[in-house]
Amino acid sequence: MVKFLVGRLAQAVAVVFGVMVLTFLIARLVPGDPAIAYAGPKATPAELAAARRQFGLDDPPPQQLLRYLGGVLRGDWGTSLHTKAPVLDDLVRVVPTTLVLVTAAIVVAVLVGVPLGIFAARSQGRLGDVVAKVVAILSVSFPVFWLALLLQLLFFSRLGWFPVAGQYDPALDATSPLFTVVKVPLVDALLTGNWPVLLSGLHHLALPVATLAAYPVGACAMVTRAAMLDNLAEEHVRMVRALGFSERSVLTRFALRPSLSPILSIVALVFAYSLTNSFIVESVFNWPGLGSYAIDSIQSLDVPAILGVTLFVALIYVALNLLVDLCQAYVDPRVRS
Amino acid sequence: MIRIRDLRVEYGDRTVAHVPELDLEPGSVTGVAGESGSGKSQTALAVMGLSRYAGATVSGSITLDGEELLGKSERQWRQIRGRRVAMIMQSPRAALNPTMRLGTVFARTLRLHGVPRREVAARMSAALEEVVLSPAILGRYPHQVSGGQAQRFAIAIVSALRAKVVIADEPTSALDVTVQAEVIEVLRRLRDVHGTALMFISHDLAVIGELADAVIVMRRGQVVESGPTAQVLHDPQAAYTAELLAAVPVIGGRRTT
Amino acid sequence: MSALLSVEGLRIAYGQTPVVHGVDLDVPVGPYGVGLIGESGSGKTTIARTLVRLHRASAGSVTFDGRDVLALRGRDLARYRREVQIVFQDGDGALDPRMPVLAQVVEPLAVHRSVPRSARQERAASLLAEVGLPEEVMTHYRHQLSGGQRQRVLIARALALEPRLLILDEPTSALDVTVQDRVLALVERLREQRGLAYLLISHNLAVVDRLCETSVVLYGGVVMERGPTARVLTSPRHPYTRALRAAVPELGVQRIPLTRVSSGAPERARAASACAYVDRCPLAVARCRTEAPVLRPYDGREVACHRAEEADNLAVDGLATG
Repeated sequence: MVKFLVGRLAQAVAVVFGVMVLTFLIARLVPGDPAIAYAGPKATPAELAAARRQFGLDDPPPQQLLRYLGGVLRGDWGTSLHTKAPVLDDLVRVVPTTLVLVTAAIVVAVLVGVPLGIFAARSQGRLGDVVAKVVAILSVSFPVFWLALLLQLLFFSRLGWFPVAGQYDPALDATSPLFTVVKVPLVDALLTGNWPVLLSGLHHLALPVATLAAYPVGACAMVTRAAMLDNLAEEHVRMVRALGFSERSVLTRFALRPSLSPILSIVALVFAYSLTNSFIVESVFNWPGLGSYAIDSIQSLDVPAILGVTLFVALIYVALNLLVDLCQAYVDPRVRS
Repeated sequence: MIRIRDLRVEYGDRTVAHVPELDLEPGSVTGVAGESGSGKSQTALAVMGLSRYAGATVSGSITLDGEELLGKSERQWRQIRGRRVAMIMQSPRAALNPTMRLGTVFARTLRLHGVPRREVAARMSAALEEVVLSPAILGRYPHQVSGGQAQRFAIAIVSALRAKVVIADEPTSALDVTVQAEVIEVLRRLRDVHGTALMFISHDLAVIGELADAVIVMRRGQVVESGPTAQVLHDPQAAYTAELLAAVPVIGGRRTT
Repeated sequence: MSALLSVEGLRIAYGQTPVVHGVDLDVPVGPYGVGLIGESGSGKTTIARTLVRLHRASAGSVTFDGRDVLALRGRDLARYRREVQIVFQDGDGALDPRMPVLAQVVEPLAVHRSVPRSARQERAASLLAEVGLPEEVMTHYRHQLSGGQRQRVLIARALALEPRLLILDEPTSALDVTVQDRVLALVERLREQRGLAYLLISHNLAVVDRLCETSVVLYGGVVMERGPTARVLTSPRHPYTRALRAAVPELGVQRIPLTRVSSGAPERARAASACAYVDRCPLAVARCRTEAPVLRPYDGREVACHRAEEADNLAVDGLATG
């Protein structure tokens, strides 16, 4: 197991290095002069020259690469052209918000999608299976913006059950001011025991998470169903039935365990996917996070910021895959050898 | 012990197995011989009440110590499976959950059938010793043991449960020939020492000849011949039985060279 | 008479793990059959795959008709592949599920362009008839064929290029016994009609006894015994061959296991210089752990055992544990 861990870590480091080199190369390929972009179109030649020197644009490419890599490792991820702040600072500001949203969505997806998939597998061919499959396919197919607006219309406009803007009720700032620890309202509220804000936060979380979770729920359900069906057809399931285990035991204990491997893979995939595809949800529900930042950067051709976002998502992806590999190795001993 | 009368296993309107009469007596081995498509595996599933999972319907009568099994509810069947009638399958490693250690499956099964927690370890030990397996095997996963070890492990579970009837569906077919004899020997012990009623299914007549006291020969779902093993193998009445016997390759028999 | 196929000191590995440790065998020009006997893990399928260049050898030589097989490339390799064909055990895996039978037999003819396009279908059809398949099977797909039929299709396909050497990897193991008999009869007939030479790989001693003049017994990637089938199988001199022989189920004869049962207890590692069979051999002594025996002539065949002379004493009651 240790050897497996070390091997995977080494691979992860190699991939991260590769990603950093790749982002550097892409930045160099983008047309346009970063010095002009920074100094502005009306800059004088002297200002341009100064900007060039500042960013080391006159140095040979290998040296620029080394400086870039060194910078990244030191925490200098460049300066955003549209916020004028260091990219890393920007990321630290926006990522937690998105992380809360996406994590909540994935948790919901697993809690809803996996049982749905098990139910479908258990009732294979019969009505239950058909219903479950329809639900799964629908939830994967809903366009996110349409679903967001639909939920807003139904649960806010018509029923008034859930709010649609912000992370918590701003009125609470007066009555129960939030003491910021990590600058993420929900987490801060939990850490400081600020129940009014926490409840309000969860209330505000409901609709955005429901929207964002739609696709992951469907994906989890379908993968779970497929993996369970495969395993239910295996000889080892027949064996435990022959030993007298109940069908419920068969489903949840003996067929589910070997199915966890593919489920974990899809969870990691969907998590990383949701990180950047949250921008519509962030837009509609006013949760300014990574997705919004990415869109703004793209629209203003803010290359350092775009690279920063790319690098960050790649790192998350690598970390997630590593985590999933470890979980899979834990759950399925065949993976270890 | 087990009396089968007019058993029919059907898929829709197609009869895949019809057994007019078959008895499994304690302390004896009954062989069921046949090639693929003969219905022998279907018969085995029917005796275990597992036919519905294969999508088949069963009619007729199967009694266990006088108690009629067909028509029992799934809950009642669960009391019987493993505890009173147990099954051993063809691909031993495939029959074990790849993500669970052998010991976990063994212990859970014993607990399921009411063995008190403090007795579980002792029962497992004793059963493993009988099948010549070291307790070290309990910590292993299926892919870490050989086919012969996995099959003997399956027999250990069945033996520890003290099942009176054991259905062995082609238990040696997937094993190397030098390992087959080990497994046959262990099954023989089940019969002789524990007085188990064993149903031994195989396409290999010679293997059946080694172990079975009585044999039925099946072809395309029908029983073509039955009787004491020695008699059926040395003086077959049915043409098909003779054909099966003639087809068994023998060293020193027909030679090309 | 020089051999058609000559294998010397063949060593093969899977990644870092060696699985075949120096195997020698010869297949003379046909009609002739050499049996390669072994159980799972013996390395027999790995050898077969290496002989048809589907796997890399790590050392040793393979000579076919004077040519160095392991060094062949390009056109020479293609020519070798016409002359040496293999029939795999798994009919299900070796046949394309989406192609009808006739097309699958035509395929090698098309790839090697050995027959003009207009004649290919006819040649394929006559091959299928030669292996005893009825005409209607030609349009069938893999899932519509029985095990025996699949095996026959594989044989027909292998014969399409008129090979001089046929390698059969467990041709009957997955088949019902009556079907086995018919497939073996087919191989016999083809041997007579085409003067075929074949290397028959099987764990079934009776099958090898029926079709092969020479037998090579393999265990753990090492040749344990080698010689005329009549001698090796009827009066084996190596403990493993004796165990194999004693393990063959025979009507009316009760078998006695002659190998030590593996109990799964943690085993002490076997030294690289030990005999491959030492952990299961009932005759094993200290010398067997330190000095691997080499093949030596004895009693009309070759045996790799320090105690071959005492093989007759091999009679163990019940199960012995190891």
